[in-house]
Amino acid sequence: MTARERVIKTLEFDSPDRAPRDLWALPGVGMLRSEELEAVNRQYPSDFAGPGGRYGPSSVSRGNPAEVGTYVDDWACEWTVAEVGVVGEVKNPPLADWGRLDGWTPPWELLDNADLSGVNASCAATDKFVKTGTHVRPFERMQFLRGTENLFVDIMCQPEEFKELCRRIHEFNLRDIEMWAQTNVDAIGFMDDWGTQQTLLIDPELWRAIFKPMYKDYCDICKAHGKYVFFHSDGHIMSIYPDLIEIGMDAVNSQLFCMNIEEIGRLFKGKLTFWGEICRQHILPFGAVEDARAAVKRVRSALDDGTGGVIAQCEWGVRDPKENIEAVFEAWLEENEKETT
Amino acid sequence: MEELLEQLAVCVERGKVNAASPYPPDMKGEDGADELTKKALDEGIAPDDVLAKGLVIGMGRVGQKFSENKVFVPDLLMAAKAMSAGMAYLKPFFEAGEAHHKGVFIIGTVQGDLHDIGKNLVAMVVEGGGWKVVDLGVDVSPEKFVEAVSENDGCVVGLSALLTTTMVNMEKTVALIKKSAPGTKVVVGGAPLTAEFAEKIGADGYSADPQGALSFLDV
Repeated sequence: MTARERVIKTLEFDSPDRAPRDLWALPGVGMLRSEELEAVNRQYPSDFAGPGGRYGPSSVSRGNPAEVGTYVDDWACEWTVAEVGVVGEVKNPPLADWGRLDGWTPPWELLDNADLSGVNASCAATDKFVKTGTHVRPFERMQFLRGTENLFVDIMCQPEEFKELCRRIHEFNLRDIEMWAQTNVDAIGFMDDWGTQQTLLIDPELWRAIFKPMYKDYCDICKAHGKYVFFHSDGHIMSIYPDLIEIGMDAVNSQLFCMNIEEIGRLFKGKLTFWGEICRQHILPFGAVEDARAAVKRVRSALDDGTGGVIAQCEWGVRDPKENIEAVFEAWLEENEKETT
Repeated sequence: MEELLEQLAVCVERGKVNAASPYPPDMKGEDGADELTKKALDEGIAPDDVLAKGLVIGMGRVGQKFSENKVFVPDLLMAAKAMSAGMAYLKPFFEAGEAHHKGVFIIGTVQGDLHDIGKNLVAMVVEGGGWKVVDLGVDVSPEKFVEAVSENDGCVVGLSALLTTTMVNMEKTVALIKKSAPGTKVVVGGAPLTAEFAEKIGADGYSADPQGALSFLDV
């Protein structure tokens, strides 16, 4: 079974030979612990690959997002980074003042000058499952552009400027998704962090009114082109799982350990593939190897009965012990071996 | 008097800032916390009563609902905006000693961490609970916390962190505060934190949400 077949069987609940592997590493791991990262990737090769294309060069970005200090991203948002290799925070949102919206446009040059000419060849050259990321993160994009507190007020008051900003970002996102949908990638991914530790950041009804229709449009494009849809959100998002399933998402990465994993299994197993994860707030950074192994068993027991629906994913934080990451993948192999014996 | 203060509490609870505010839609055109606070003071209601029986009541209600996951972050922010509109009228009374805070709460996000939304929410709820809040901002060094403590006798300190890499910096901050100003209470919070971690680093309290922090202070 090739890696691509394995992932597809997982997504289709068609009894893969084992849970496919997908290790995420924060930038700092690659920068500061590259040998360890390479060793783990050698021992536990990923079943996923990237597509090899690139977006067009930005006309505004400058600086290095992985270094301490400030940098400006492709959307002209100024970030401050406090620790090497750890994602920073936007401290100078360019549209904090609605007066700047009139002349503002999304960075179309990223799409207009994108070079995807090698994507189909790279898809053909690998037997791994090719998933692309995108710029699509409408909620977070508006946070970065407006500032978080401003955006929350916008969501409640819904001024015309907010609606216009939504429209422009959505237009960009539709073209972004459309662009990738016309390639031979297997899946398209997008994201937004929606949860606190306990619940959704905003009222689920507001989420359904404002953001769900956007996500549905993205899913529709993907489905029309035969692509799988992958989505990531931090936090407790149990209240919108049914919506994510309804609009056609195939795989969702969320902080399972913020939520009731067993309840998630009871409600959603077989309807959605769980794209990881293992608790990155407590177990991976501070737990013992035994804790990491037990966490895998818990996920396996709750969400995976051997027919698929779970991807063996975890995120390697910059100070997480390598042994805990290795333990996750060891435990997944053992769990899958139990299934086959 | 009671009716006016109850109206004021409702405005804070619902996030009705002023008459011009379009939010919440079902209160469009009605007076908000801005107008009602001014009216209460003009009618001669004591500033301490406006605070304790109006603004604080409203903020307490929304904070409680937030801790029960019945309202969400934007609701809390709108309530805080309404609260601030009312507090602006009380400021001169605080300065003149005619209105009184329950105490001083010093808050900041610990060194190395730039996240502020959680810290800001706690600050809003605590201020809405009648405390004077000294917000030191983000990426605050242990020394800066200690300096602020030395300038505010009897204060309580709140430490925030969002990242697993920065929550460990709390321990050093707690230790330095306890060393320089023994008896100073410290409460900690943030997404990856637990009560066990708080105890381990020597903090006096942990809260998973803003209302919990206020409850810790009010005890």
